[in-house]
Amino acid sequence: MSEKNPLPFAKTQSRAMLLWVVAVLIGLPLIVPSATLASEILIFAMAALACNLLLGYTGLLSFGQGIFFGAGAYCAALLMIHLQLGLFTALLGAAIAGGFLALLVGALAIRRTGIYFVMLTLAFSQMAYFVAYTLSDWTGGDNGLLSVPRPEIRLGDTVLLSLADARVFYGFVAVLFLLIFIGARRVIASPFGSTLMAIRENETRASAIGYDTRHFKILVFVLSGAVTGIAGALYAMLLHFCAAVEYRPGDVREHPDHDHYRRHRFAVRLLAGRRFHRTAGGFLSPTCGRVG
Amino acid sequence: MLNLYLFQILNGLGLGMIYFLIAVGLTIIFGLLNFVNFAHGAFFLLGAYICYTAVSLTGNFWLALLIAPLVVAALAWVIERVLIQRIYHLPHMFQILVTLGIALIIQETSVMIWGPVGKSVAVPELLRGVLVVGDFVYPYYRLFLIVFSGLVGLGLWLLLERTRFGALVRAGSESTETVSLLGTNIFRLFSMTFALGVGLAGMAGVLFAPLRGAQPFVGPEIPRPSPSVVVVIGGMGSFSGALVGGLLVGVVQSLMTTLWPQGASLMIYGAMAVVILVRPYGLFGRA
Repeated sequence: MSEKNPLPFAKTQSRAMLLWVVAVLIGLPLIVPSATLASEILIFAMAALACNLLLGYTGLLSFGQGIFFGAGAYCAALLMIHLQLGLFTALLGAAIAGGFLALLVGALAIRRTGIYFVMLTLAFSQMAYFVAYTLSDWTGGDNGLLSVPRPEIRLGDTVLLSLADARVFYGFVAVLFLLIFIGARRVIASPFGSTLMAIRENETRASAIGYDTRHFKILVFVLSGAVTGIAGALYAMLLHFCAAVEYRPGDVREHPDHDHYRRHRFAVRLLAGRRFHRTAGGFLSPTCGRVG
Repeated sequence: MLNLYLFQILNGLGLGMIYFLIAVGLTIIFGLLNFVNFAHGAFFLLGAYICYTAVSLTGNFWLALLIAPLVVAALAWVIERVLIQRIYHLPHMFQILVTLGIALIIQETSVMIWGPVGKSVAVPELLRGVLVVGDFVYPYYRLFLIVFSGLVGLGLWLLLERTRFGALVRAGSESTETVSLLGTNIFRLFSMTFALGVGLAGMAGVLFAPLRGAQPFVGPEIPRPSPSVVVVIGGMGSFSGALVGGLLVGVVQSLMTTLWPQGASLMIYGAMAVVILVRPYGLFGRA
């Protein structure tokens, strides 16, 4: 693992990477048949990016990502439906909901390592599914929340941009993705990011040097949860729909299955390629994985 | 009312014995190979589907009970040779990812072959009907489940405790290097153990098919805990842990069907979380 030093990114390399991402973001809707599909790809790429912070950079395999995705979706949908809140408030709410649940899940799950850690996140994910399924007054249970709005971007009372058109919504998701992408790369390039990678490579050693590794792990969990929450909210807005059973694109309507969704998104993550976590391209590769 | 609970507990024992068969295979694989097999449930599913095909072709459940585990074990043997053997040295996290991929491939291929709608398998002629004792009734098939799985479990125990193969497996779980240095082809032993463990999951699938049919998806209506859950509750690598974990999960699930159907998986996953947090090595595991 040590033969390749992932840090620091050379400036030119970093700029080239950014150009690549922008090129993909622009090219994507031209290649795939519909803007809605392109948005879906980006939203899942965003969730995979958040997953990558945990799995790729910190070495934590979390099955709990579905919780944060769902929490973000429900939270944003409920805020918009019941309180008529605007787009950015709803997204902020989703990020907070995802981050908060990630704090809870993370704080408990990181008490164990290896397979026990994985199984704990699996248990929480199943329990969260149960909660979403049971609180049908809030979540609509099996039917889900219908007619989730897609509010326009407004400043005061003036509407700046309506997102009703699929292509405009794609543009919005793409900008958000780019911001999160840049933000995530900044985080990884920071001392905080290096510490995460140190934990991945050798946790005992990282804590021997004096880092409180639990603290770092919880923080990255919160970060990942917040980004996943935003992705969930965007997904609810994309589909105008939100349910614990309907996160798998395509054919799931006949077979409501949460497990499937969770695994599916994992497959997305897996497609991202083997060396994902060692290169700066790690953040881009989830996008490519989803396309390919 | 009390009778109903008693009935559910007995029902749970039948189900629990199936879980035991699944879990014991997984636990043997973990014990010897130190390998985490997340595809175990998919092999279980495959067993159920092959049972369906065999029964609809030949009309003979017993033939299916013989063939399906062998087919599943053979497939596992091939997969072990081609893929699994290359990842034994990797951390558990990577093993989970790879076997999850295998599980997805098996599951999706099953859906492609047998369709997304579950297939039901009839209870074999011989075991139809119920046993009546006073005012208590119990299906013969469940009784058969308990007895048959019990016998398989006993046979397995004898295999592990009383044969040369078992001795090698147990020695291998203590120290793979030593066994290998003493002149045993450890990789052949690994392949055989993997095939044996997975074959047991296939057998469990066959036994499960007449109860609930072969269902490609897990949902709130069809509770089917992941085999790893049973093993983690019982203690990874522990034979008795697999038995107790399997029975516990089976009985809890069965009782919850009467008390609070949707809550079944909550109880089981909740119990697993508590076990991991309080007793990290499971009820019967060792550190």
